[in-house]
Amino acid sequence: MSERNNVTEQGDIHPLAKKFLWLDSPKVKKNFIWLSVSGLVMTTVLMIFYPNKHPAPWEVGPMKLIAYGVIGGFAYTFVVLSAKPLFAMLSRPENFYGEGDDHDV
Amino acid sequence: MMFDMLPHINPALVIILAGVLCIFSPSHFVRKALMIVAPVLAGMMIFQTYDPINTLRGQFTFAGIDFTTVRIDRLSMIWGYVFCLAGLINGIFAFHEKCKISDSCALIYTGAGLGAVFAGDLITLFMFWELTAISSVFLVWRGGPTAYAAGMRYLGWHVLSGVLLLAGAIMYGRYAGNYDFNNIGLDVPGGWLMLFGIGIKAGFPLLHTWIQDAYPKASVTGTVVLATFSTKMAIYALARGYAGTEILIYIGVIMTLFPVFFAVIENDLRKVLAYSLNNQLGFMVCGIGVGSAMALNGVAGQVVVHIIFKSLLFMSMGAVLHRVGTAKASELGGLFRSMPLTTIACLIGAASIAAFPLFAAFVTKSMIIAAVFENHNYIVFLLLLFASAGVMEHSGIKVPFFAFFAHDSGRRVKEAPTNMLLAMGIAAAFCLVLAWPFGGYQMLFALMPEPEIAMEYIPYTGNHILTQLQLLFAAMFAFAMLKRLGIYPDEKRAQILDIDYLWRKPGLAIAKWSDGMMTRYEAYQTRFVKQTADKAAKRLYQVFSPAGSFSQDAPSGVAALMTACILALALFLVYFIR
Repeated sequence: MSERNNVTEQGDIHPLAKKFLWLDSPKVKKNFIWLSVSGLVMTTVLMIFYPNKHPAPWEVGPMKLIAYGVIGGFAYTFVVLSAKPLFAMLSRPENFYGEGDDHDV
Repeated sequence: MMFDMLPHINPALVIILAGVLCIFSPSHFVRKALMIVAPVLAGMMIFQTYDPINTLRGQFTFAGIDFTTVRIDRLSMIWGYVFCLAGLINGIFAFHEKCKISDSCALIYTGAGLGAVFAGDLITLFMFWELTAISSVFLVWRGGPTAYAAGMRYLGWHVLSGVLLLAGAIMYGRYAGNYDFNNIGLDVPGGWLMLFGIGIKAGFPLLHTWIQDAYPKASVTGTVVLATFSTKMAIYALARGYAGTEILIYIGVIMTLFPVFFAVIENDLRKVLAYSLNNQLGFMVCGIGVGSAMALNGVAGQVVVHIIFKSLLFMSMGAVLHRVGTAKASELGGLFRSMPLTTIACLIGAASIAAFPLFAAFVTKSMIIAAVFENHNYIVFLLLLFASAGVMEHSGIKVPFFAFFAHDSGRRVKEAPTNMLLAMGIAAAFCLVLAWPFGGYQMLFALMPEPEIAMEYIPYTGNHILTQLQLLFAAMFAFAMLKRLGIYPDEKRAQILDIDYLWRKPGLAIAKWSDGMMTRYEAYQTRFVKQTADKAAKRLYQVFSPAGSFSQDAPSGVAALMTACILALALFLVYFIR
């Protein structure tokens, strides 16, 4: 265990972090999704009162209210789902180039 | 007298001089003082010497070429200020590091970047351009033995960039009759060459790999410095020389998109940030391609906030690397317990890059996207929105989540050193201030190239806030849902291939094979020449040596006959061939 890195497997938690340990509770993690759902609902409802003054061609009908959500959700999902085939195609052993591992101090 | 000269001195020279002094200073504190004071002095010089009427200064003629070593106008000024600020933050972040080479090179590199931005002619630009390459490669090499090859590739790319710039500049100079660095475009001789040269430093697609190759391998402090200047200097050169060049819109869009797919499968979080850097550069390049006043304002603003929030993100990952010893997502997690202040800094950087309202990029990136929309380029607009969701994935969620949250890696480390926290605190404060709706972003707008037009743009409209929040909430929902369904991929240690595979594997193999073939050919050639020479010598020896056939006794009649035959042959040849 290097002193320089100060890595210890068991040590004190930072005093400031003690107030935020609830972030790690399974309940919070499980219910995190509701934060985004409520955000989506809230923005969609408010869009009724603040409509886009310069809509894009695809912002017609219900898309006037949810276009950006659809784009964001689709894009994010597409990117993440592409990870598996991309990783299978592009991943190689870490020392593939024979130059040693990437930077680890 | 001295103060009269001041406007004619490039502020960059102050920083470069400080860098040179650092080499000779044995005192750590003197070096660190120089690292902090020099950018502040340079910033003050910019402030003091800016004159909206007399923007071109430091002019002289040498070898028939008119040099303009200082140009501080509204376009270069904003770059100058943010470079000085970045230099100051970098100096504070690296305060703990005791290394002459790093200190010196960081300063010279900062100065070179600033000098390039203030260059009024292409030759001055080229000289500072190359100085950035030469000074910064040492920062890569400070990353240790594994960084050596990456540093060599980095140097190769950057020297190539400079050579292309110079070749293009010479062609352009011969055509235009001067080397003034103004709008160049693609319709003039050398225009394409210079675009390629600048494109290397700007991380154009297929020319980008030096960023992801070198930055993650540099030292903790080196990466933060490296991520600031070269690429943004190139963005400045594009904004100065190629504003409104349509092809840049499409190049920019590709730059925003492809890094998203690499970042999602990359395990090294500093490499993720390097891809993210490429993605952000794409927005800027796209804005330059649009070329309208609003787009260029957006680009200038995005450069400012990007330098700050990307430094912040690199600093937070640097702090993690410094304390934990790795920045690999698969090895991290749960660090908010030990490094809460670094976590907060990283979250502010993440929110800024993702363009949450009240965070830095919300104001500036939307200017670029709005300019694209105003240009009626709806497909590009849609793709930029797609890329924005991608930014949320790799920098907004992935980096902070896997480093500080996710599963607890069980590592309990000290919080980052005070100087690092201070540097991150300053950067985080700027991320918030420059997006603050009540007098915050207006300060940034006042520095933009066209402040009057910038002030007309109102970023905090109900609709803009809602659409941006909806996009980001949808991305967060997708993340939470994919996590819950177990579809979100785990981080795995691996080398992810990029286009540089072509020259690092097959290209290298071809080069080695060619080298082997050349060696064999040379050996064969040497042997062949030697054998031929040996044979000829042997034959001559057989004929002319004392024991040879010509030395043997022979009747004079035979010799006379042979001479007559040779003469007859000569006559025959002369008669018929002539």
